Amino acid sequence: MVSLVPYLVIVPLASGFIIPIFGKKMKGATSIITSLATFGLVSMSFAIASSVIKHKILIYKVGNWAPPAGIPMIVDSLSAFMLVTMNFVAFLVAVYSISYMKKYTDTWKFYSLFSFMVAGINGVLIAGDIFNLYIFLEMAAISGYFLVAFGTGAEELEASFKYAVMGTVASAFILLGIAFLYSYTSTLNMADMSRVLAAAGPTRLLQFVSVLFLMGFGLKAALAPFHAWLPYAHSSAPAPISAMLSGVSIKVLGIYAITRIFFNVFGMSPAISYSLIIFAVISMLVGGILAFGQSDIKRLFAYSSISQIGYIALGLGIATPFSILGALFHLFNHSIFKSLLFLNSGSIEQTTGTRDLNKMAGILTKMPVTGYTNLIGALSICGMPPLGGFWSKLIIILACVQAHHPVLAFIAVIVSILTLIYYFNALTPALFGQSATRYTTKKISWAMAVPMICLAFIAAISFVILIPNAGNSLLKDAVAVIVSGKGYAVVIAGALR
Amino acid sequence: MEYAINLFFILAGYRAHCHAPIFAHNQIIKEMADPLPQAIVLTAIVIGLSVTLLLVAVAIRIYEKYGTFDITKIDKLKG
Repeated sequence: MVSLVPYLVIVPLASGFIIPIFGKKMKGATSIITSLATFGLVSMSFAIASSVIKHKILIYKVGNWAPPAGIPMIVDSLSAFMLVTMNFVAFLVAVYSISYMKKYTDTWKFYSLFSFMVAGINGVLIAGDIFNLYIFLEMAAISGYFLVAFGTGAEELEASFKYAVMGTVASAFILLGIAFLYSYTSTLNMADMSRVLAAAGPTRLLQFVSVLFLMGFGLKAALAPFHAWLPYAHSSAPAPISAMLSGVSIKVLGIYAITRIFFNVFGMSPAISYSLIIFAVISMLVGGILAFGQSDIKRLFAYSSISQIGYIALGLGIATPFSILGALFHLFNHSIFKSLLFLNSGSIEQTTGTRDLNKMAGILTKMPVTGYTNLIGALSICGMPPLGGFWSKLIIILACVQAHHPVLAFIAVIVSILTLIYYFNALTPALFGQSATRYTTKKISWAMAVPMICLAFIAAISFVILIPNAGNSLLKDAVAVIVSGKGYAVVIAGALR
Repeated sequence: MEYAINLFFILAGYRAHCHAPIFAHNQIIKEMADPLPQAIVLTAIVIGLSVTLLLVAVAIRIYEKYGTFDITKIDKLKG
């Protein structure tokens, strides 16, 4: 299984480079290549995940050079959990694009960039040293800047410019942090770095680097004071890319990187914990309040993303095993139902020709597939009991109480109610209202319907992965990896021996 | 800003009176310079270049659409 690990990056990279060669001549082939490549990634990540459940950790040594001098690719339970979730979403988004992207010209550029984005995201998840993490992060981010501008309308370009400027600033902070860390520890390997830092004890430098990383990765994750780019970028991009940015990109580039570095390399300290909690609370409140009064359906979903990212960061910030379980489970749920909602917005936009919530009505009767899947997604994000979103929010709130933070629990409940109110306000007229809209008779094709149904199904039954002995061993192991903190270095040293 | 960070990185790898870490016959290198920061900075420069090119391209297209570079007039996105 170890030999399969580099193919997680090789396959999408290869498809990204093959598509431009054939793209101009065979228009239909490009979307098929992308779907096949992402399907391959899904099966590979499932195979790797089942192997990780057995062996706990897989380390691939690039060029057979032993770490710390060589470059390792490491898949542990946390990476495997993220790999399965993210590649699955990417596959469904690729299938959705087959039909959705037909209205654009030069779609081969889209599929090529999409493949690079997936390669970057997988690369971040399996990177074992911090500089490779940075390179793959840039790869995913730069293709993101391109893809946001794909429509080349005035708004898309403006959004892309804002996103690119802010993303570049974030990358600069991250690179500066890496430079400081390298000059202090003389290593780039994350496990080795963790060992050196533990031996050296706490320093001022670590605090400074923590601030740099919190700003850099916080900007990528769109935590509240750094969230300004997100509503523009997510609402202007083509719908599949909004789904990828919101469901995959901000979680891997932001949350995963924060988790890996702060928990496993630096070791969690109360200062970092409190700053994460503060950012989380601001994001939850800012996202929740700004979502009110949004008439654009995609902007509504974008602000709600900020708010939900706040929940995930809150769970990580409290840093008890139970809250981390909640955070990871909410991360899983959010990538499923938020990509679902963005795909819905795409098919609504294609059929009704508008994104304005006030102008659409009666979607449930006119577009049953989109309407009902949208209903499931929205109910799940609001936290309706049997659906996945309810359980993850419940775990986070209970974990707040358990960790003696009743105020945080109260805020989490309030924001949850806020979420319910703004979704109810916005979507009720659109879904149930009397139809005054002129619909094009064009029905959405199977390629758009199937991914939405799949995602809605998973969003509805995602609680099964919480049931002991059913499917939660990977989730439990992923939580254990985060909780073990600096034990990460020991585990990797043990696996290498 | 990127250039400042690149320079800082090179500085972090600088050691006085060192030789390049290339192994050759009849030569024993006592103090090696650290080659890693150079490789890293080279990568960072390429990344910086590509982002700059992207930004310039997008800026040109923005000028085509809005007819101005005035940031206060490029305001179709609000809220």
